[in-house]
Amino acid sequence: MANLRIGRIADGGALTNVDAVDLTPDSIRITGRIAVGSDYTVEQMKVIRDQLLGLASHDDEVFVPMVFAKDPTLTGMVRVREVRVPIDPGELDEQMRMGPRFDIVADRVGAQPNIESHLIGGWRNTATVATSLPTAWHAVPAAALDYYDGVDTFQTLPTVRTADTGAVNFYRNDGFGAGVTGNATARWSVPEANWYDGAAAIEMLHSPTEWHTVIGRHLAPTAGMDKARAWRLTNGLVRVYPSPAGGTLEVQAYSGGAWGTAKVIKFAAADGVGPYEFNRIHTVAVSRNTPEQCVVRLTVGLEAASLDYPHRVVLDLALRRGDRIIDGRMSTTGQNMLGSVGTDPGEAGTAITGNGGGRTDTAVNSNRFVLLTPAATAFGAGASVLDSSGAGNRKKAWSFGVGWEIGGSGSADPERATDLRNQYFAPFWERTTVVGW
Amino acid sequence: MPVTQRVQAPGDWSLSIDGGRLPTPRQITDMLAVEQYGFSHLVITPAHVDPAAFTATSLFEASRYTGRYIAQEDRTELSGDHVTAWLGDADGKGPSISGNFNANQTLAAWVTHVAGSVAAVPTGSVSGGAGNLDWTRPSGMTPRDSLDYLAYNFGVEWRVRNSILLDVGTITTLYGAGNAVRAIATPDWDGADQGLVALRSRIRVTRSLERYAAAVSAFNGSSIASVNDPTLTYFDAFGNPLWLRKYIEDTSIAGTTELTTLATAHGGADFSWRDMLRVETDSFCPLKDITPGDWIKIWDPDNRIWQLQNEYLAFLLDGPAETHYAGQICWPFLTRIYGITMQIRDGMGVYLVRGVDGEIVDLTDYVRWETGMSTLEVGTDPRRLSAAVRRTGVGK
Repeated sequence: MANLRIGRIADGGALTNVDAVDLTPDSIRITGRIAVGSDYTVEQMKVIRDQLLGLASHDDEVFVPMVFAKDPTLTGMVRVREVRVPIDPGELDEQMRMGPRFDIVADRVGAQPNIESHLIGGWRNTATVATSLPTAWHAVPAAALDYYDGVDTFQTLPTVRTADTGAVNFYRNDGFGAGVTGNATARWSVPEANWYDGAAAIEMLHSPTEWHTVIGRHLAPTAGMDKARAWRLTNGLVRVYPSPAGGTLEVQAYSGGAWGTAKVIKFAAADGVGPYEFNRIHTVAVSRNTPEQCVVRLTVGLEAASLDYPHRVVLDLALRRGDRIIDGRMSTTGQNMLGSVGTDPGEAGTAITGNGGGRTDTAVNSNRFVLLTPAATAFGAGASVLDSSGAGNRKKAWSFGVGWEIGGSGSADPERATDLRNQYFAPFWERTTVVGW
Repeated sequence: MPVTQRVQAPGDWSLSIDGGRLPTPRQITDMLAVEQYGFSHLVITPAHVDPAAFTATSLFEASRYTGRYIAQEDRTELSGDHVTAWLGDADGKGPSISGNFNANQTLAAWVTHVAGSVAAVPTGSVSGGAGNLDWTRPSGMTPRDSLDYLAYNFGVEWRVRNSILLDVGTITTLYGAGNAVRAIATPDWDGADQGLVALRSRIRVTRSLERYAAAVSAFNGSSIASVNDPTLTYFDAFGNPLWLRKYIEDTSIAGTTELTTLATAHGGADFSWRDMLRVETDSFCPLKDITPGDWIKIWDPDNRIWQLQNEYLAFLLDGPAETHYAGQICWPFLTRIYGITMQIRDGMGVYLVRGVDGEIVDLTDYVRWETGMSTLEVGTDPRRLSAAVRRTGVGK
């Protein structure tokens, strides 16, 4: 009957075969079928089923856009209350030609409602970077309307960053630094079709080449795939995913309308006995999944000369909308450790003026790779490595950031490595939600 | 009914042991007759243990709440207060010493004097509090009141642990520095991560100006010193800055410098709103993870509960306010817990330890288990709370 887009179902494509729409003034009930055979394979059906169920399974993303092609007057934000996808006998068979029914019940919130982004933050606890340097920032879809966050907060210097999934307006406050209370509420609105422009997202492979967006916190690996390797964290500007083998990650930037060559990064940790390298990723889990920020948690294995690191080590990766830097944190429940992150293989680099990290010297796709940390550490210029060296620096956890300086030596504010460093040092917690008019 | 433990206060508890489908055997309740076995100790452990494997002392060491058994309603409703009450109950009774006693001595010597001979609560560690105090302890003052006086004058706190040991020391000695936080209360998470235990909580905030003053004046009978709120935020109906003066009279203060210090000290608290926080958690056994007096982080931005690093610098607390949990940066508010009211839940162990013969009566099978939320009382410096607030207990 109709095509429907709700949340990120079918990766921004349409959910076909809507059979019935049951409206009340406050709610909408949509029933239909995930049409296997004509529109989707069985594997895709399973993905869409999980996405549908994800709409109602958690509180991360309370409001989602719903776009009706056939009746645009129904387009608006909704709060999904209940989702059912009954699987009838035989519907998981490869020969199936109908697909399971779905039933969505949602509150209708209205079209282009007011949105509030609550932003709280300060600067990272650091002894190395001057507190006058951090640049607080906030990014929303470039299609946003009426952005306002109060006087002298972020909106003074808007820039557009073009993501794979649409452009974002990058608002920032240079020299946010000391004395500024990092508490702001940005108010804005956006057409439903642009809600996910440049949004942070977690993606999962559902065939060797096809990615789908994860909705909710449930990561469903496709049969036969290694879940710990089948994920990707992206915001359309930068993305990170595991290398095909071992314990390294790959970081890609979107520039000039295409994803560039990935930089491989490797990790190590030392507990005072020996340096251990990350050699495998055990598990992956979602700890936040919203358009404004996504967080994945990896547990990893470390090894030194065939000896396993005896402690549990966790690698958290967070990414905000509009950010060019992946925000990482390595932590252990075991002994204090020294952490390090660097390019693999090591390559020549230059420390950033004013401390806090460094960048590679050689540009790839005219971009240079940036590594950042608030930990008291020197940037290893010869190998582009950040190593929290020195016995006094052993900690249960340390933070780092990795990303790309778009344009390399030709980049300008706010894209230079120093600017990215300043942005990284003002981490803000953000929660975006639909509010009333 | 729950158990309550408070900082430097008796607390209270009550318990129903009619939780079975059949009536509780008299064989059990006869072992609990309050007229015979009153002042036995209630012990709660986070999991049921076999009492046969424990002595009374080792069970106290495993205890997460130790109370005194005072009252029995019908056969099966038991109630009492926390072991802290051995030092002085809500009625003002305690192991008090007759006769005034004057000395100019250290904290350790004073603690030995007021509590050293209290057999019901052995003294554990005593530290902190430099110098001597010249004081005359009034005749008949309970150890609890004496300890309150000493704690105030030496800048320390005291506590009675659930293993029934009295400790006296600075907040840092007793509960660790502000950066040694073990728990975070937040609606977002439940579980353990990054060295923190998250207590999933519903946080109620009352932000009140009831005790706001626009100026504080200290008067000693002849001179006066006044301090004004440097940022006059509030106005009356006609747009005038508020004239709300708090007036303190203390004739024992001689110099104007001291008067100004006193007024400024009061102003530090009075030139601002007060946040009254009530944290309700469905965590199974909060007393397992935290005790009253501990530091706790609270993170609930929807209810305006956060603390930024620049504010942390101003407060000179230990450790950064920037906290990592579940891969996210958050900016929780650092505060202390002054009281915990914990629900007794199915899965815990409940025992009564009789003083007369050391017999451990296992009540676990008969307890009417509770559901609902445990509450944490958190807030500002306990010194600013009135004694009435700090000492609510039985007979309140």
